[in-house]
Amino acid sequence: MKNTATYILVLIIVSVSTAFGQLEGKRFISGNAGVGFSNQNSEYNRSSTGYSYNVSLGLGKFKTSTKTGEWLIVSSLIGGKQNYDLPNESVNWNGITSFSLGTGYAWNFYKHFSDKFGIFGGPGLSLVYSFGKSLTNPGSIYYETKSNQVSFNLQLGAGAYYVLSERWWLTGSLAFSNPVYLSYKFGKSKPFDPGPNVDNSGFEYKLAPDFTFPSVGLGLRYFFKD
Amino acid sequence: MKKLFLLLLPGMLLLAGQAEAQLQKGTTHFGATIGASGDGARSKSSSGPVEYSDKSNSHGIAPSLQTGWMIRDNRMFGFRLTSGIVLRNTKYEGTGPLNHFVNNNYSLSLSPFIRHYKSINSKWALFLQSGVEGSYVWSKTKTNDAVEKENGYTVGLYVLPGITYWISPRFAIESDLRLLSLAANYTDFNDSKTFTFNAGITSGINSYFGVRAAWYLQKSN
Repeated sequence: MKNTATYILVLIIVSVSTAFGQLEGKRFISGNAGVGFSNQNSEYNRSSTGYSYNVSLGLGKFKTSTKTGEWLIVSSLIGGKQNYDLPNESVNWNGITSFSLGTGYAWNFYKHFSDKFGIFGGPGLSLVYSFGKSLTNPGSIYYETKSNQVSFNLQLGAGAYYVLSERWWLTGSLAFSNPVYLSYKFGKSKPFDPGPNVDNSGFEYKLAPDFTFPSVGLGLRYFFKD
Repeated sequence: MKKLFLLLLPGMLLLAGQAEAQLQKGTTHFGATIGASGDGARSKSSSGPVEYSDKSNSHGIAPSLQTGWMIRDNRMFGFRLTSGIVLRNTKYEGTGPLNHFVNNNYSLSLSPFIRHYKSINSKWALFLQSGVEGSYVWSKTKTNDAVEKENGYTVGLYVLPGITYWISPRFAIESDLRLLSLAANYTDFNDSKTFTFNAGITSGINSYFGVRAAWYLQKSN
């Protein structure tokens, strides 16, 4: 009895440490990306096109076999060729209508189910700058409104991983929550018809202890050689 | 080695027994959550003959408290108190006189409820909460100097499923699955009578899955 128990205990410790022990201290780079293109040809209007991307890059390290810290860079862009028919003129826009760049830090805690598969989750902080250009119509006058926004987020994320090879992991994010959100926005509006320019500024805050719909995003993670 | 196992065994049994005890008759429950959101915006003409400025802001806060008692194993009777405040303020100055618009909305709801628990393991449990809810709602609207006050009430029935996860034997995080909820309400407010039936998401600050901090305190024997 005594020998068997000792043997089982040793076996458990050894198998656990061989599976996950080598994760400690490992550095990795992770990323996910999405791109989109669109094209519309209408009989009555000029053609319009659109393009977009969103990218997230992370540089992280396993502090212990079940905990990572990760620096993140996120960016997104929307652009294209658009046509608007206003009462007095028609407007053609060609270029970027929205762009964002941000940085953040995320803590993730892992539960390894086997040496191939596991789940993780944890909080993160991020600071994002975004630029936007839009056509606004607050009264009878049409404006070209440009805005700059700085936002601070506290996020909760969760996900799962699958080990593809020694160096590559496939990751998927499964849920998302944004319990704290703060932002400050400023910009200018320029009317299409003669009139004064308008200065805009504003802020937004949110404290919401809730979960939104699970958002699924796939990504890859590459482990560096020690 | 054998001794160690024998020492650990009652400890494990004790732990397993303790977890179920949270849903035994006599346990007292407290829960609390809060949501808040708001924004402010300011526009001002920077040049030109027509000058105007536009200022608006809104603030909302919705705290909720609840308490309950295990009247039987896996069954709770309790009260939920929910309140909501939304304040809106807009000032517009153009070629004419200053326009000032204020709209404040308040609500206070009390709901007695019954909760049935189904424990999955020592850490997780599902619950189904059914209750009746009565609310008193009132508002104050100010357009320049004209003030208008309204008040009314809402009565309703609801069924709401949820999940409890115990972080420690006394403290848990609960999530209401609003996505799967059912509610019927009758409202008499602002000279109009409304009957609504909702299956699924209802509008509000805490949508989809609301999260609550919960305490389960057992009677010390």
